[in-house]
Amino acid sequence: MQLTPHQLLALLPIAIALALTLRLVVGLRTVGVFAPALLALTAADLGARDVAAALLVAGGAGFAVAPVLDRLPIARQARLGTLVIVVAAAVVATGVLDGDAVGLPMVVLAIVVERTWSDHTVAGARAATRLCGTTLASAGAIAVALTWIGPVLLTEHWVVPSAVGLGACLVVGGYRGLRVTELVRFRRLLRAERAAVAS
Amino acid sequence: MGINARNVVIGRDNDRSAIAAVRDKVVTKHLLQTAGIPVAPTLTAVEGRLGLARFDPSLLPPTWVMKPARSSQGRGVLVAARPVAIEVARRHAERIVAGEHSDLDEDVALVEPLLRPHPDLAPDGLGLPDLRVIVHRGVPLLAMVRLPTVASRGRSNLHQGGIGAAVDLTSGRITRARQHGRPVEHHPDDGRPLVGMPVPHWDAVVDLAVRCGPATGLGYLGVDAVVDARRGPLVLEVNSHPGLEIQNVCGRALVLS
Repeated sequence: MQLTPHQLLALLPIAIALALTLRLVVGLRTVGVFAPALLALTAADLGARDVAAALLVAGGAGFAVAPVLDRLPIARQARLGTLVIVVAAAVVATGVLDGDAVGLPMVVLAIVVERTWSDHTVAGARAATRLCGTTLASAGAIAVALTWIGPVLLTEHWVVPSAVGLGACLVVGGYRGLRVTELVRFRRLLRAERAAVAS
Repeated sequence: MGINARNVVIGRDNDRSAIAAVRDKVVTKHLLQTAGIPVAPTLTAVEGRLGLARFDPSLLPPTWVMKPARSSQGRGVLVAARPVAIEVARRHAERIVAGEHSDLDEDVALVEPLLRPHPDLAPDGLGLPDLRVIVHRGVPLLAMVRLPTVASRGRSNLHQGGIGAAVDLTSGRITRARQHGRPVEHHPDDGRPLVGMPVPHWDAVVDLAVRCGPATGLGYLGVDAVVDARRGPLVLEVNSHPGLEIQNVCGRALVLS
């Protein structure tokens, strides 16, 4: 669905609430809490196929140039700036995105590439792949949810999606229980606790 | 305890200014030293362009460790276990000062002497084991020692193949050990039995950990300490958001006092 800037802003609270749910309830670790929300909005606006193609181009260009930039004696901020320029140039040159509002995806894509590369240098390829994969999967899940919820909410006054998003943020923000991923991480402990209670 | 519940405790018991203070190793060291808590000595702290211009790596001893004051998870730590080229040291300091390893606009490069593990804890050359004690409102709750291995390339990070061993708070002995999430009875590199092994200076380690709370202003904290062969127990770092993997290592859930 092609969205007007007004509609994009109206859906933002919903995307943010979904991103928060994925972080606080499911426990997915992503590049920033809201990068998946921004990527999902982009996908909802420009089409999932175009955004997936842009991700491939941006990721390819970014990962090709990141190790070179890493060796240059320049500040981290300059490296990020160069990365944004390279990602933007690659996306423009290949023509994979042809929308009115491509500035946001450019910056988000560059940050995803930069953070993933940074994770790669610190924690290794496996951790970086997991982080990038989780971010994209989260963005995909939010995008799918937006395609279901979005059309319904966009028929209402903009206050409605804002109120729904705000309410969801407050409810999810108050969740104090174990995250779904922690049920797996601490499964042995939980099993032992249950056994102790039972005995 | 999960991250959500932990974050509530942190929000309640850890003052924001105290959290900001312990994120900076230079400030933390100052706070701990003021409270009489032993820390690793500082050879030099390189700050800003002027500091870099004045930094002369040739004046350092043959072995040392350089780390960013405000990085986390061991990012940007350069261990010079043998003499390194002056240019390598200078370049690393430049990157730290530029905030490369801390995602900040600038940072301080902290240079400390290379600590040697107490021989009862690990033979020299296998890396430096570090102790983690979780303390809440002055009560030590759980403790573990992270032992580096050849597989972890001398680092104590558990996800990289280091051994996580639970330490009984009262006796100071290792009660169970795990590597890659699986139980191990002996150190995979030198065959030492791990379960039952006493941690040297344990009472002093717990005492230091408990004193770190009032010294930093944190109510809930994770204290990282080492037992140096020559200097004894030293506090390396104080964490305002200690990780929860210690529960898996110890086989016990964190229950707050």
